[in-house]
Amino acid sequence: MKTAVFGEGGIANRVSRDLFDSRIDVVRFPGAFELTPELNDCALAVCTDGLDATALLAAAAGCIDRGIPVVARCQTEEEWEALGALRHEASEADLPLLGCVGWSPGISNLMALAGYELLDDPRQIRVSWIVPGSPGRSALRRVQQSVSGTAVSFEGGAWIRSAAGEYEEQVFFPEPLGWQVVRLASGIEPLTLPSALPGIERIVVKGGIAGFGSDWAFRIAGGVLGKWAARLPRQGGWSGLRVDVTGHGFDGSRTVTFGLLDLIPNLDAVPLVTCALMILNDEIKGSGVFAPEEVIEPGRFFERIAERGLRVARLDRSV
Amino acid sequence: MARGRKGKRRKLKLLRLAAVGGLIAWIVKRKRATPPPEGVWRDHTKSGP
Repeated sequence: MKTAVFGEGGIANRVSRDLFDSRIDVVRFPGAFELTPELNDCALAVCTDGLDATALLAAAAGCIDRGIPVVARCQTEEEWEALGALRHEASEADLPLLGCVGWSPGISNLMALAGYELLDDPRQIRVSWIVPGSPGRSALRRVQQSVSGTAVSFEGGAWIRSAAGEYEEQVFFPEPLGWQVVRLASGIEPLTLPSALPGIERIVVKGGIAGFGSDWAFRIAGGVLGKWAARLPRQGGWSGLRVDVTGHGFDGSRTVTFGLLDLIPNLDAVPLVTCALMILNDEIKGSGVFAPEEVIEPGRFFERIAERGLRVARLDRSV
Repeated sequence: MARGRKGKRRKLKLLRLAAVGGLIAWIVKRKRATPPPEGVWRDHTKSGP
């Protein structure tokens, strides 16, 4: 069984390696516009990093033409819209085209669904993410895309646009990240979640950089203290995700909170690999374009990503 | 010559002391500004390594 991996960055390399470790043969396609005959032998295509909306559309359209299901990362609105343009073609071909497969969007969508199912009257969803103070290319791209321009959120049954970077607040992430400042960021969750989770009135995405500035302080301290600087407490290169779902009951409001902490390469690659294997094992079925919350059961997905080291945590406020 | 070298060393010592003091002040300020934990994060998945 062969799988095509589109893209040429670190995520593409990691996804290829993980699929190969799971005894899946991988065919690499660094670009989306030169689809060689090898693609015809593939049972699945995974679109990773290094593809813009136009390239993603070309790759996904080429795969659908050949009867190949697609798993795509989709981090921007343009990329999600590009996939959406293939809705009719995917339905006609009776193929699943699964988008928003990453950590945010992706795992965040399934955390929102898990919280939604636990509450009687869920109303609000807040997705928060944080990347390290010394980010790599993937994290830098995420920050640059998320805090420049406007961010879309879902308020009172309608989508509104506000300036990204506004509405600062402190959010408690899994330790060692702990309390971090996040601001309004663009994300795809407000676009996909309302259709799958009826009754939700507000969906907002916020993001930030962990300990921004503290890395410079540590570098200066390292120059002064020498080898003793290694003993200072540091947050490392952790990235965090937290999803709060708030509902209203007879006894006031109640919030269910899920969190996740890991390194960016794991957070980016594990959802793609897990979804690819689930499609290959016929655990995800459907014809059309889907976001994860429409076709994946959260509990099963959390167990599958835990097998690859990503463990979802729940915040216990009773302590 | 000797006095100049001594002065340079003293200056460097003072600079190091000021940097360490500044770092300690910054850490204390940060600690004070951080609220207590909101709760305890508990593992939500049953399987895995």
